[in-house]
Amino acid sequence: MEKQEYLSWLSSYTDAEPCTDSQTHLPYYIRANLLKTTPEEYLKWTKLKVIPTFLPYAFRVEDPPDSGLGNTIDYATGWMTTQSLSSMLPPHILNPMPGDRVLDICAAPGSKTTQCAALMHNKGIILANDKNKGRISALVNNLERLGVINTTTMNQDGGRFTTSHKFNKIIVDAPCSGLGSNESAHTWWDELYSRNISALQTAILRRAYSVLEPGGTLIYSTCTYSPDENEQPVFRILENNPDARLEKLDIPNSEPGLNEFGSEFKNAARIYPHKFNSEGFFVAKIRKVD
Amino acid sequence: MGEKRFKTYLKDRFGIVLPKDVCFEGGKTQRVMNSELKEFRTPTPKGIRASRMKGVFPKPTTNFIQLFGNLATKNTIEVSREDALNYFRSNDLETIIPAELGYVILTHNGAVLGIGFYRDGKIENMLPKGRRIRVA
Repeated sequence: MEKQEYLSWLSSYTDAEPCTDSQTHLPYYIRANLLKTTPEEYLKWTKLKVIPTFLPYAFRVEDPPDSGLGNTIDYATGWMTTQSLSSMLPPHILNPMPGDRVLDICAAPGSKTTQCAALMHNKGIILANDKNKGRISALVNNLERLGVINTTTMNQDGGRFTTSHKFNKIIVDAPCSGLGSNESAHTWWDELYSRNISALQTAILRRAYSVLEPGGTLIYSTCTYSPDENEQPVFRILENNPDARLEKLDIPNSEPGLNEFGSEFKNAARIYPHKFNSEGFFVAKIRKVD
Repeated sequence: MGEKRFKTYLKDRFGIVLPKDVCFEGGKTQRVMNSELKEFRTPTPKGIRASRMKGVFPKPTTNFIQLFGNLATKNTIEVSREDALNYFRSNDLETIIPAELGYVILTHNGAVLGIGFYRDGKIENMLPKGRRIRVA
């Protein structure tokens, strides 16, 4: 899709025009690893120039080193990891606690899994699944570097996911067109692509919802803007499961989900770079009522 | 090598006493996990690699030591920031701090860097190749 056409399409969903170029100038964010340090200790220890965010363990980095944040002592010791602020939202909203049983059904490369483990203080259990065997290596490397000992990995197609276990907290960070995170995605993207991948996202969401305990919470997220990939799969779950509810989110500088799918979508959140200062995202919190 | 022998080694060599809910599984290669995960029925690997046998002694992994090395009371060596960078560049280090022959835990300003092998004032770098960093 041509850029002007894409921007015109995008501006129908948000009150300002999210400039795709702004994605190349988005700040770098890091997360202090709570399994090895505290935000206070990390701030005293690091030589990086960091600015606090609304999440106590997340920081914006000013003037990152030319060699990259992955080539710092901070990264090598596992005291911090790189992760966009938007990507930290699903675990933050899920709020996993010690003792919880968490499923991350599209887990690789593991930024959200390791954030959940940190919030759980390595207690409880996380099952981190991914369809792509190659990407599981990256997930395992991150689990090892960050010292995660409450997690086991699994290699299943999320759309056909089966397990005898039930979970009280689930993350579905679905594969998507990446319009919010990849500045050139619009060059090959079209609405047909979104409609096709929407079927896969819905299948994954259905499988995940089927292993969610009554009373449990499921977070659905993508890094794209297309309603077919965001509101639509969530709408399908709400439509087919009378026990599913969309719970309200409180995210600064976010916009509500699209009203055309129902008034309850005001409870979901759309994240735009020009407002949130991190990559574009969509997040919805679904509760399975008892 | 079983869980009991590895825990004894950690206590004897480094003075590390692990929390009660930290468990192990495996044979020559031990994996560390929490007790809840150990009870979780799954055929997939749990937790992270903790040690492997090197000769007759277990060698704790860098990742394991980075997580639990702060519990050590002996055979730890504090290094300068410059030496910490050298360590992550995979260079061997020299020290005037006395230590027993064998594995030592390297720290810098409260952070555990990893493990080295101490002999006659020299610390052989044990950092896995994949953990090296390029620092200007």
